[in-house]
Amino acid sequence: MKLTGPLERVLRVLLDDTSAPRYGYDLMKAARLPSGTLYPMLARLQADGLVTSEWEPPPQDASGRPPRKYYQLTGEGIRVARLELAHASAAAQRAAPVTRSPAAGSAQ
Amino acid sequence: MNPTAAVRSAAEHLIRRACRRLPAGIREECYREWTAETWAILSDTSARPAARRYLAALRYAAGHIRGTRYHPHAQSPERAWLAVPTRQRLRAVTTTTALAVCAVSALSGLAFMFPVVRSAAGGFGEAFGNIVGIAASVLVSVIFLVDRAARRRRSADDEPGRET
Repeated sequence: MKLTGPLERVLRVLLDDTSAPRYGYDLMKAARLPSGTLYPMLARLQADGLVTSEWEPPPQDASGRPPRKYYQLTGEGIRVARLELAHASAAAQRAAPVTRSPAAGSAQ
Repeated sequence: MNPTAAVRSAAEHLIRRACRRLPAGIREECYREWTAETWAILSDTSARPAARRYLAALRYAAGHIRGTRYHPHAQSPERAWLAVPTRQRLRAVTTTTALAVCAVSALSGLAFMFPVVRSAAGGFGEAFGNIVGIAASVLVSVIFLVDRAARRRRSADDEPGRET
């Protein structure tokens, strides 16, 4: 799995609360991604077995709203997402330039 | 039709168009999922004014037109074309252009030669030419109409969100 910026955002949102399934528009808003980016990504994650989806039961209210589909990380998905995000954080820390103030340097 | 219903209808149209790129196995499910989201966006009264909801629903639906090109299950010519390496794409474009230039040159040559041949053949040649011309145009029209009808039937069968 190649961790891109949008994928990282989606994984972070899904990892926020792994027990709470989230619907697509909610994920879009939380990850600040357009639908054209989010859904192909979710389909790929689902094909890899990292995300599972299920339909909510038909709403009982009189609004006539059709049922939504909810997404959630699988056990393997949680493991892989945590690992990938940890790798990404480590890589970002290695890449960040070491800035040391002159005062901190003279104090040692 | 009130504005919400009009926007919902427009959004559903966009989603239906987007779903055409998906294989039949998942098309209906994606259509159901995305139209349900559109419904929910338009029902979300916390977003005010209503124009904001309309815009969000249309943006959501239009996003799928782009998104289904990159969908892992998409089976569209666009996706197949994007998957081809750049060098091969360039070669294909060059070959197609060369073939088009050859075809146009050949047709121009025939158009130039036809009056010469017709005047040389005399009366019989002219009548034969007219018959062939009429037969060819009738044949092309029939092929065009049959092909169009077949396409329309196929797209109606494949259309998501429509009972067949």
